[in-house]
Amino acid sequence: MTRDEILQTIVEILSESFELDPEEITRESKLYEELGLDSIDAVDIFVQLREVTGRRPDPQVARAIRTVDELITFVESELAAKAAGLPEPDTELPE
Amino acid sequence: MTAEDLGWVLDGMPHRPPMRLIDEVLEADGKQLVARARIGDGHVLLREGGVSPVAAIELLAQAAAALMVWRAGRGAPPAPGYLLGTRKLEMHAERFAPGDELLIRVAEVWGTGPLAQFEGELLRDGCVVARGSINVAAG
Repeated sequence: MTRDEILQTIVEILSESFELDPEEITRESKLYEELGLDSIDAVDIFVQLREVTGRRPDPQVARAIRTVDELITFVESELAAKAAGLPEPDTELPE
Repeated sequence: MTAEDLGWVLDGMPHRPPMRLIDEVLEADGKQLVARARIGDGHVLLREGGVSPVAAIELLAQAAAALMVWRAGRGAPPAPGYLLGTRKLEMHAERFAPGDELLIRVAEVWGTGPLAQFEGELLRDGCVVARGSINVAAG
């Protein structure tokens, strides 16, 4: 997938899941400060992105993502890891 | 593990009857759990002869809690947890009736920090009566 295609996928996920206006979602959009998402929404985003990448996201990497552009880079990286056959990170479950 | 070997999981949950809705843990491994819930004549959620299918959300949540107890290990102190909600839940039954036995399957999807998502389904007589995902928080 190209970065533009990944962006389109992310825009679809965000607009459909959180009823956001697609026109207001840009690469520079800040997920929490501008799009109004919270940490619970972030769980939903990364679960849906798992279906795109075919890999379980690394929770520590996921927690550091703040913008749509960083999400695009994350998906690119995950797709490359999938293609390279790299093992998935373990998930963290609440204790 | 047999259901008898897994009795300690229910004891490790913070829920107590009548609000502990699952009656038995049947199977468990690191990522998924199967539990059974019976709808008795005195069920705490019984209204006008039936239990709303919306109770599926709580049943999934309690099964998820049981899975976290299993992962914590026998003897670990009960830890509080919270059901945050569901974005997607299919319900295929109008109600659950006294005498119904429900099989509840849950599996971890993903988690980060205190938050996690589980997916699961409820079966009655081998048919799926509810299916969806829930978000939970611990602590």
